[in-house]
Amino acid sequence: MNLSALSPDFIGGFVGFILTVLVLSYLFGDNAMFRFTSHLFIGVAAGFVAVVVFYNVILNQLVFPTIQNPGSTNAILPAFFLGLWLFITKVSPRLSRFGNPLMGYLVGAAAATAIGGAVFGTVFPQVGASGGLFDTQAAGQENQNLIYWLVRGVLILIGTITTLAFFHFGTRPRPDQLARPPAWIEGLGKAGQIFIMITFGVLFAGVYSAALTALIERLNTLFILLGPYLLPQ
Amino acid sequence: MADIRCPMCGKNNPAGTEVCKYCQARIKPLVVNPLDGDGGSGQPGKSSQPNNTPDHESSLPDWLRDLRQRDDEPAPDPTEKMPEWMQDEPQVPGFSSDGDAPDWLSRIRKQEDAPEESEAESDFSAPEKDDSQDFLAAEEKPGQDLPDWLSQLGSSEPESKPEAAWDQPDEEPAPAPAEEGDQPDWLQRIRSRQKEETPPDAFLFSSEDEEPSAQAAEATEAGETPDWLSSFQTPEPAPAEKADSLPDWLNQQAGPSPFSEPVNEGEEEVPDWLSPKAESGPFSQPVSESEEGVPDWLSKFGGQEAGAAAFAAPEETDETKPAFGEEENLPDWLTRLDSSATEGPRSGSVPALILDEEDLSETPEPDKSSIETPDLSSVPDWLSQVPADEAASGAAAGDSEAGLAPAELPSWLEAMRPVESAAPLVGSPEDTSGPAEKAGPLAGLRGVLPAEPEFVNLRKPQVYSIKLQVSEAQQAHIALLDSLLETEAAAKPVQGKPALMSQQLLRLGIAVVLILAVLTALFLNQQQLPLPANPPPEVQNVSTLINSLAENAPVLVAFDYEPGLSGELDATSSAVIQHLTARNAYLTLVSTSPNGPLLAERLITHILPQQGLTVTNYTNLGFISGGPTGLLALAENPKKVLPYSLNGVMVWEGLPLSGVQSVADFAMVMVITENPETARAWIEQVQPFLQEKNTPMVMVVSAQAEPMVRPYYETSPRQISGMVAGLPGAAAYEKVTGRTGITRHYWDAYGAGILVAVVIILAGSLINFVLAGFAHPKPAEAEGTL
Repeated sequence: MNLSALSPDFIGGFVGFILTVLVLSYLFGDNAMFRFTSHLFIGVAAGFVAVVVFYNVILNQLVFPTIQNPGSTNAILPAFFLGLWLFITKVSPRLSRFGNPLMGYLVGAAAATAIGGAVFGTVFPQVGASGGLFDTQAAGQENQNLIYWLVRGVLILIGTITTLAFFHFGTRPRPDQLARPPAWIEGLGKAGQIFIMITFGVLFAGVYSAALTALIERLNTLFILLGPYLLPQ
Repeated sequence: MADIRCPMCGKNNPAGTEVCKYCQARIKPLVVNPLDGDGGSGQPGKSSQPNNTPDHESSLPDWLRDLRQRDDEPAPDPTEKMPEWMQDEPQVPGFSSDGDAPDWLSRIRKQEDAPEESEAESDFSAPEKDDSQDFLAAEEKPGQDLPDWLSQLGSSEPESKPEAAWDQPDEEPAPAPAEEGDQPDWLQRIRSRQKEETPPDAFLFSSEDEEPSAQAAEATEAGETPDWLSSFQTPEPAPAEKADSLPDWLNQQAGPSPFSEPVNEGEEEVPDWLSPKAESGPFSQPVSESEEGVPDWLSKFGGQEAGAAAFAAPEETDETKPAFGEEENLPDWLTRLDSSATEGPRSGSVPALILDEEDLSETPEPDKSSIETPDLSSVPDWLSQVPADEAASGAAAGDSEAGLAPAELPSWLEAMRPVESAAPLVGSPEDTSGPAEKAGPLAGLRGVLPAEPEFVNLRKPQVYSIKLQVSEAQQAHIALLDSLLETEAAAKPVQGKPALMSQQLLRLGIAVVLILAVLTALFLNQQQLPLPANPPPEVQNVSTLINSLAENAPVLVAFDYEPGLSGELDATSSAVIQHLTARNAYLTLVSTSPNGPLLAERLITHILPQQGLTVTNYTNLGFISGGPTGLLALAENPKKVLPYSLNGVMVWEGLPLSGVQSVADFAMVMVITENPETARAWIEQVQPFLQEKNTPMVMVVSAQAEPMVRPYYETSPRQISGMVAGLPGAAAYEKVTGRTGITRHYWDAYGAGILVAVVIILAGSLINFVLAGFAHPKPAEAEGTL
């Protein structure tokens, strides 16, 4: 073998080929090679994250701004000391409780941000969208066929109601009878079950599509790497 | 006066000495006891012999010395001297001759014969029963030597109604006591205990459950004692037994009691409480004549309702009252004893009197023998004689006496108390053969100290069989339970797995088919499968927006996907990135994933160049920390969140980012992600800021995230302006843009893989359907479905 061919790309490609084969060994069940590859990926990812955080966060967002713009120290130093305090207290279990207030502040701020975004970015817009399913003016603006627009609106409405009915488990107790929801709710629930099955089918199709694309990419990489050596020129 | 014998060392001391000059023990108790010297144990069951030493004989009073002399004489059989009618009639053990009865006793008997004459007689007499005679007979012996003041007791009783004064505080007349239960509780308990412990063949002096014969009643009424009764009395074995029952220490230490020693023998022997009444005697005090005649201590006594209740015995017989002269004449210590007994035993107190079963249950006495053996050490001498005589009589009391409560011993009496009365009995009645102690407080006692140590007699406890008696049915149940548990505990052998199971074969077969199909498509690279003819609107919208971008327009591109799905997203995003590059847009690369910046650099510098595309108009700002919070901060002020690029360059000061103050200043925001949560975070946190300047946001997502992201595109107004989902979306985008790239290379293989999947699903469904049609349900399953 020509040593000049051992370029970094080739070495990287060969390592990738080996690791890919080890992962594909899972076809025969869980084995040590698959676990080794999984642990290797986890370790490499964790190390890479540490490096990225150090360079991308500590240096670029803390050290460099402090050096190049000393005037921004007033805004950065409190964050620096708070971060240092959190790091010190959370390193030792005995001092962990001293970092709880700061951790509580972070969790509270994150929760408030997430909840606010969910309410104003998802709940309200989606509720408004469900209310405008039969807006014919919107169909005109979207250049959609009015019949298609209405049929789509009806399907979405039926799917929403029946799916909600399927997840309705409330019953009214009656003497000498089994506790079951009303018959009409059970009928709606069965219709909603169809919509749920379709949804799960779509999700599975998406997962399969994504996985198939990943497989194609891996096989294509292996083919490109090993093709010149395996296939006749 | 004789010398005083020290109770501790047993040596004689001069009279009047308070502290023994040999052992410094206190001879004279601190508390003056009216019954000086009392403290003997009158337990009839105890085997104690009188000390016949000359010293002891000299210290004994005359009456006791006489009794001992009689004790030496053989006891005659009382039935021999009984008249015929007496032999026919039920025996009246307690009946005795009153030939020697003093005057007071005769007067008492006269009063009993006429119970209806006065109201007081209703309290003291027993018109239907002659229990009093028994008691009086028991008192005849000490009464023979009673002094005059004590003899007046009987004469004063019939004239008064003392019980009405303190037994009935509400001035109601007491009911006529005629039953045995009318006796005081303490006396009843003493009698009952003595009945239990007195041998049945002992000489009986009293009978409370048998009515005396008419002849005996007549003799009693006449105040005369018939001859048979006199002879009946003559042997008098009771004092001998009484003397035997008293331990030697008591014989030695017990001073003259009010019953045993006349008052005129010495005033110093009379206790203080008795001295003021010396002339008339404490028992001759007419207590019921009027309130003026009641002494002070009795007035207090009568005023205390509790004390009255303690002594209140509605059915009290008259036999006890004349015998003790009136209970109101009882000394204070005895009153306290009785009152404390009614209050129940106190913790730490020493049970003095006889304890009943119910009292014993409350008293912390672990030793059963000590419970059964009454402790009469607290009983004064004169009082102990009464039960002793009655116990000697061995009268079988018909009614059980209850309610006796333990009392406390006086401290001085507790100090003088022999060990045998407090400790477990060392010497039983069978131990009388042991050697007699000659010195010390146990002098005269026989068999008190064991001849050999206790541990010599120790032996191993008897071994009892603990084998259970189990029936056959129980054994069968045990065997059944044992078998059940054995099967539960037994480890089930693990069945060995075959090298290749059907599921594994099926999985391998599908994988091989799929891989072969993909490799074949890649190897052939025919690109026969056409791209989507009708691109979806969301893909067209993305293309339209990119086409509308100005040259060198800043576009914020978020690479928020993980390496695991980089194969899909690299191919999907490359088509869009290629279009942006063609539009010469300025790409500002960011990521909320630590792996995102590296994946972005890999796409820009490695993958796209392989497709013949070189991207230079971009900057990589790196990682945005903080998740949704960091996104919110980036939307508000991107310069502050990401001031430097990965290369450490301040890109915000140069073109084209110099004019960007917020995220809305970007020409477009494009998010590349495989995670629907990440896409939702961008939509929720950043998209609202884009509405200020109507900045479009497009999504390049994985096929698995499309169902979750599409609703944001379907809303009106749209929260995302366009979307490219998965390899089909990328293929459609290439179809729209008219460019070929990675997607086109993958498209055939993708089609082959989808085809294989469809075939496998259809084949599997068909096989499953056929198998289900030919399969017959099992009977159990069929029944379960009904």
